[in-house]
Amino acid sequence: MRWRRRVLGIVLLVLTALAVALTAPGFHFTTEITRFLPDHTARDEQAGNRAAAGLLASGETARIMVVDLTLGPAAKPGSLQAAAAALVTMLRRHPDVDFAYSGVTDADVAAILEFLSSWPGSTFVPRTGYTDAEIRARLLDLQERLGSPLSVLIRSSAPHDPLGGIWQTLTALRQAQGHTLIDEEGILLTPDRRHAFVFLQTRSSPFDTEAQRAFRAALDSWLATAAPPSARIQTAGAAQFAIASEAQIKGDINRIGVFATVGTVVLFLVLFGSVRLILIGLVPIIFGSAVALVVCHALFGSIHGITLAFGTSLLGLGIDYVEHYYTHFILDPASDPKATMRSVGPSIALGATTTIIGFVGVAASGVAGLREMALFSVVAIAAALVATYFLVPAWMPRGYLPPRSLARLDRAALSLLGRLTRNAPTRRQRAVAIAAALVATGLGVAASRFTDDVNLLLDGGGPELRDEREVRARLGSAESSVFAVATGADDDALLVALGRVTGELERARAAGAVGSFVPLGALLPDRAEQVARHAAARAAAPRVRAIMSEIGFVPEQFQPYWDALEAPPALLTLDAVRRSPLAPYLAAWIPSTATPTALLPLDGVKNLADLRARVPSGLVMAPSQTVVALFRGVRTRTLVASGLGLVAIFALLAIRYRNLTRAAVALLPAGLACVATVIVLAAAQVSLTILHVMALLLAVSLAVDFGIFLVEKSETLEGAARTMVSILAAALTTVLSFGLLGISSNPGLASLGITLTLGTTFGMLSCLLAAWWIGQPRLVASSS
Amino acid sequence: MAGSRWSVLATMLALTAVAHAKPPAACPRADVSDPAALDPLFELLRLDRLQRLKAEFAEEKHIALLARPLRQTGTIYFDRSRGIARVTRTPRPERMVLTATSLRVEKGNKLEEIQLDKSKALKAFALVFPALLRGERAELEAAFGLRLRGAVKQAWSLTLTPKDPALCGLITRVVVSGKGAEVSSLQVMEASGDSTSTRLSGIARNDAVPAAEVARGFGGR
Repeated sequence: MRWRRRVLGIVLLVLTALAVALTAPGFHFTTEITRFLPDHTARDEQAGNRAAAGLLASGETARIMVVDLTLGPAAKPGSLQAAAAALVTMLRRHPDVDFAYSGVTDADVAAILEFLSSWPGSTFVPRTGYTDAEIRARLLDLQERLGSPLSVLIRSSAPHDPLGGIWQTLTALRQAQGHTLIDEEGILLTPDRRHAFVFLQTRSSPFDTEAQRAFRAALDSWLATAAPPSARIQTAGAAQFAIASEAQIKGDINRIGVFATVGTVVLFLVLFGSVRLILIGLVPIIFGSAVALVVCHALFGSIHGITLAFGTSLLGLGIDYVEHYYTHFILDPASDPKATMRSVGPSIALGATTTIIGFVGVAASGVAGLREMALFSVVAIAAALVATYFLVPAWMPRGYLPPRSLARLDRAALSLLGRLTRNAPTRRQRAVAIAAALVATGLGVAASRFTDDVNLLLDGGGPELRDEREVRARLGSAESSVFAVATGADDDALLVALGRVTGELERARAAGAVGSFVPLGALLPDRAEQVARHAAARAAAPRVRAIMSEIGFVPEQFQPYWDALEAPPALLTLDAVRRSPLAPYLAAWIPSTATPTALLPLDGVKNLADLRARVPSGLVMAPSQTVVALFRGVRTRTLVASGLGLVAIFALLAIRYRNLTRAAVALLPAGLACVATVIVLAAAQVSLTILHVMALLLAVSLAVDFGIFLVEKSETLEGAARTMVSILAAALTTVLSFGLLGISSNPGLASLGITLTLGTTFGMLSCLLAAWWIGQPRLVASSS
Repeated sequence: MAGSRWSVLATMLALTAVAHAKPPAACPRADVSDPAALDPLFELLRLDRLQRLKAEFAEEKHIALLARPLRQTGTIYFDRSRGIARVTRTPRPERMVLTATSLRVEKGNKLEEIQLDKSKALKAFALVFPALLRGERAELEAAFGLRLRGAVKQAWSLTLTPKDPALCGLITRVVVSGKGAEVSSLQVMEASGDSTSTRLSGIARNDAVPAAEVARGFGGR
């Protein structure tokens, strides 16, 4: 039987190793922060979620990199422009660069105007432009412009567009936003001409760190070999954060993984004194992590760095079951390995089940990244439990001589529990304890402060953030913080929505609710509107001719305009714009997302709620505020889901014990650990983030395990003492690994580590309180 | 970032759109004078060191789109350090101020300003007249082929033919006429066939023009 179990175990491990080996070449790790944004599924009723996720994942800020080039104050006039032009040329030749540009050259302008002029003159003239008064006003305006010193600029477009649709649209766009930068011969510069800006988009995702590192190397190589010696570069964009985050997380994983393993091995040697037990103890962890890795990768396509770091730290959780089993096996040498497992197996299974219930709450948080972490944890714990239960006993040594350390700890625990439970708590003491717990809970709730900052993964002191801030500051006030978002099921629907939103924004501007905005709808009328405009222009053609003659034009000179009206309307489509010279400019506002979305930057918004009421067809959002609100929602949902999870755990325990008090005592360490951790964090003036909540959830799951282990073995004083030793071992292992996460330079990982360390420690200490509460009647020393 | 990029683009399109048709790959070969033949005119302009100038102008535009020519009259001011101000009286008041870096047009309450640095071609075209008054030959030769006819001390005409394809897609030539160091007329022939003829009269130079009046011409008090 023992040998059959061993063979089965080996087969299972070999199969798992094969699965990992087969899938490993396709493993893809990511540090994409957008995975930690709330979901934007079809079921999501909040359009804001979609927009925020779309904006951050596909918006210009995420995808477009800004290169800020300077040659220092001593540079000769024109040399910076020449260097920037050379940089643009180099970038355009780079295979991974989709587009690169700086300012606008004459050639760009000619190409764009040629494109715009290839559509009928009616395309950009609103239907309201064909009253006699409006036609006359437009033609007089043309006449006036033709008489101005700048007539040469409008002369060539006038025969095609006598009513000035293109001109009017471009003027409206120009007036939409002021800018502080200057454009010299196609190079965008700061007003002091010391910094030149180049904008680029790589074909690779900014979160594809391998490709981004290669691109960064090419940029550095150009700087070192082809740029003037005094040239310096700073960049802004998501890619540099992805590279830095990956390096930081990888470094932490390596360091923490090594330290956690060494620490656990040392602890095992001290407690169990057997290399064999260490190796056997590693089996459930490795097995659980391997299965979780394969399952997560199969389901999500890639694994996030945070998930991996979190998974590495599961060493501290998965090994708890083995430690609990080892402790009972070693401290009761008369027992057979299988019999010991039959004895502690139910409590381990119950602990694992409650932990899984806790993680189900995390999975329900509505964040892909957290769901991935939860799934990884659930699979890893379940697999570790199976391995512990079925594989470990078959490999346990016979004739094993344990070290004295465990026996000493056991004696100490026995003595401590004996003293603690000598006098059963009186009714008054229980009441005082309950009151104190309630006060502490109230204090914790009152003292806790939450923050929903999206930049959890950013290292505030890193050079990337400094560069980002400096470059964007130089770019000046052109950055909008409020956007109007229009969405549609397809391109046509998007243009319809864009037209409505633009109209509503025009009215809002007239009412003073918005200072200025980019009237993208004027440039991109929808299909039906274009057809209607063409028909209106065609119907008005005789009157346009008559008014032209009346005020001194020669109608025959406008033949391109009349010809376009006679032909079936050629319709401007979004797809055509995407393939036009306007594409690089449009990409910033109409990103390529699954749901066609347009983002209109707004300036001068004083009252967001008022503007929202005036623009019902679109979503008016301040991305930073929206993301904070979204994370607040996620946090709330996580807390509610966790609360429901605890209720479910309580119900499970009540069913198992058929005793509400016993179930409550099993949950006591978890509750106290949570409250104490929050109080300590609040005292340290730490604002709680979604990651703190996550870590608390994990700590609570651990503490529930501790409580269950204790209650399950509280029939005898020896059993309770052995359980306390196993809890101490588990807590030490967890603190060793999670505590090391606390020293991570990544703020997100550090908050996970610190919270878990506190929670686990308080959970362990609270078990003593639970033992005191259970009291002597259940702690009868069987051998005394 | 999006705003600045778009705004720059829109400005370029709306105000410095040099042509909606593709410019020719290269300009026709210009009929240029021997460099030595230009020396007397530019030597004269250099020595003249014109500081201030005021002149009445009468402009006539022949545009194919219009049945009748457009006529404008007003006053032109030149200030060596500031540039040129053109104050139109008829048919509608308008002030255009041209400096080395920008072109500002004021019409009623409307104000438009173009940064000339945005386009090399536009800058070269806009600065023909002030560059000539300053005698800046190198600046003119950088953008135009120059052909001088006539006698410098009597009556002369200088034909400027653009070298930049972006500019020759717009204008075919500029002809400036004068006598001695004094410029008396300016003709612009556009690629479209339209032409603009500007005649100067009542020319007052340097100390004959009060500095305060020039300042007012430029929009100052």
